[in-house]
Amino acid sequence: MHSIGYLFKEGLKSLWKNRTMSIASIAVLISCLLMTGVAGLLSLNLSITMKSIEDNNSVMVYLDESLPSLSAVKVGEEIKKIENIGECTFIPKDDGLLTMMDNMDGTPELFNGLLGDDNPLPDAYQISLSDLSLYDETISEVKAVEGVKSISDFRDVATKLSNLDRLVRYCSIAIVAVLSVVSLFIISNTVKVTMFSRRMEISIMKSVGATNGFVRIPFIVEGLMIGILSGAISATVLLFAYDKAVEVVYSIVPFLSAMDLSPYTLLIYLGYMVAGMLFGVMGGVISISKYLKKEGENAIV
Amino acid sequence: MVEFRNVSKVYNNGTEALHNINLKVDKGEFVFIVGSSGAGKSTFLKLIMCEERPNSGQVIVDGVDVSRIRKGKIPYIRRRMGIVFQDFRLIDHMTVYDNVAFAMHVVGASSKTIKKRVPYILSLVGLQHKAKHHPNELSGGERQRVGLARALVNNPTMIVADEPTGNIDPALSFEIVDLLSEINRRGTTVLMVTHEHSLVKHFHKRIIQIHSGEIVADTAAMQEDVPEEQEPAVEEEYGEYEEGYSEVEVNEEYESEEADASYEEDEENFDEEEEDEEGSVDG
Repeated sequence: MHSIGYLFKEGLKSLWKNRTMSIASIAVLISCLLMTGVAGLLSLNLSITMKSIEDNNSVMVYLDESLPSLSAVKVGEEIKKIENIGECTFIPKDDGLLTMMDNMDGTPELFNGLLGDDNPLPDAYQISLSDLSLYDETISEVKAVEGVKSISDFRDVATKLSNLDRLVRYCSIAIVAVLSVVSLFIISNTVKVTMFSRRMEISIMKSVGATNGFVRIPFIVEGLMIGILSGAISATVLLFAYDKAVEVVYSIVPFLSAMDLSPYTLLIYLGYMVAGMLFGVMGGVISISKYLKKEGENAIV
Repeated sequence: MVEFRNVSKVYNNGTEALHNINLKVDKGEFVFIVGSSGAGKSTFLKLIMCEERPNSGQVIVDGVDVSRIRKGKIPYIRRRMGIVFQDFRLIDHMTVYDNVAFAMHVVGASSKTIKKRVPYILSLVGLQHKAKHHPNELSGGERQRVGLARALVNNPTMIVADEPTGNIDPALSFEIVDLLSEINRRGTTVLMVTHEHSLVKHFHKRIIQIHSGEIVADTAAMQEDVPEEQEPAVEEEYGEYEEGYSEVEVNEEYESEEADASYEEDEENFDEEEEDEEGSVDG
């Protein structure tokens, strides 16, 4: 069709002419898209972390601090005797502290003073289970061994994480739902304002025989552009903010495994732009259809 | 070209706008539609433009019964008519050229066709030198000529003009109707609603008077009744025009405040040339 370029230009023009409203709709749509993205990434990372903890299949068994080193070896032998124990490695408290210091950003030298007798960490065994389904039985047997003080139970952490994940998901669904309605409303209002300012043009278009579809196109283009712009901006902001957030989180909780988004950059841009487009077009269609139904009939005289 | 068969229109609020209208306008005719405000002229035009549908009867435009037409087909019917508005309806932020080109864009014309056609139409209405001006830099008469150019640009078979001279100096009104006559001479049917008696008097065309939703006078119908010898030539006619009106059964109630008796269905208005040229037939 000859006029697609023309109609596209018209849509862009009106986007610029109503820039206040356009900016408002873009802002709302961005916040909606960002919320969705943040919630999605949070929940994705939580499940990845949960999985890695479960897959890791390693349990730390901490020994009583007062236990002499000889007894520590005995404890190790007893643990090895338990069925279903795969590996069992002794980690002296100094090694434990060194590993911790390695994982630390900043100034691990501060902890140098703790090496030696002042080390607050207990000696530990790192064990792995051959059959994870017998986890509970095996763990209680390990706990029963004399000299074992505590066990780092990652199961517990996993449950907590999955609860958190569920909470994040529900909250974000609710927020996104509200924001979607708001952004649809704002976009359709923006388009409505354009339509109002172009009543005359619409009436002329109809009087010279423009089809309803033709009248709609510039307004749909306007919605489309709002959507695409919002999508692109949101994707950029999200990717940038995610990188920063991952850095911060790693420095606080080093054992979390965050997802690397770089292979998905294009996909995120695409997804966001498509989502934005859908929203924009929907907002545009809603208001133009209403208008054409209500006033279109009498648009001429 | 346009035919009304027993058309009645009652609006939802109970107003009966048109009552049992029967009318036929042939291809190539020039018709003035006169009548006081609220007489039903607008409804008459709206029915032709497919903006309203009649409650009963048929409205046939260019061979298509538009009273039952599907909504999706309406734009295509409208492309066969050029509509001229009283308030010009030009887009202020567009130049004269763009205003006319706009009408072609809307029906999907190629830019090549547009580039050829718009200057031609502008020269037809004598505005080729104002193509780059904006509407607010033009006089009322010029603006209406742009409106006319826009109505013409898609090559309609019929021009529907709703009081095209209503916002123009009387002197310039003649210019507009002259243009419409010229367009008509080239074969385009013209329907023009007007209040201006002087125009109707000056241009000897078929006149249809609507009053209270009914056609109270149609000179095409009268011409057939009028013996030829009674019809004087146009040139001498202007003077007598004012007083001269007789023999026609005029419904007294359509003498509204605006309807000056002088232009009403005076059978003497019509000279022979007119009759020959238009070959008016009563529908």
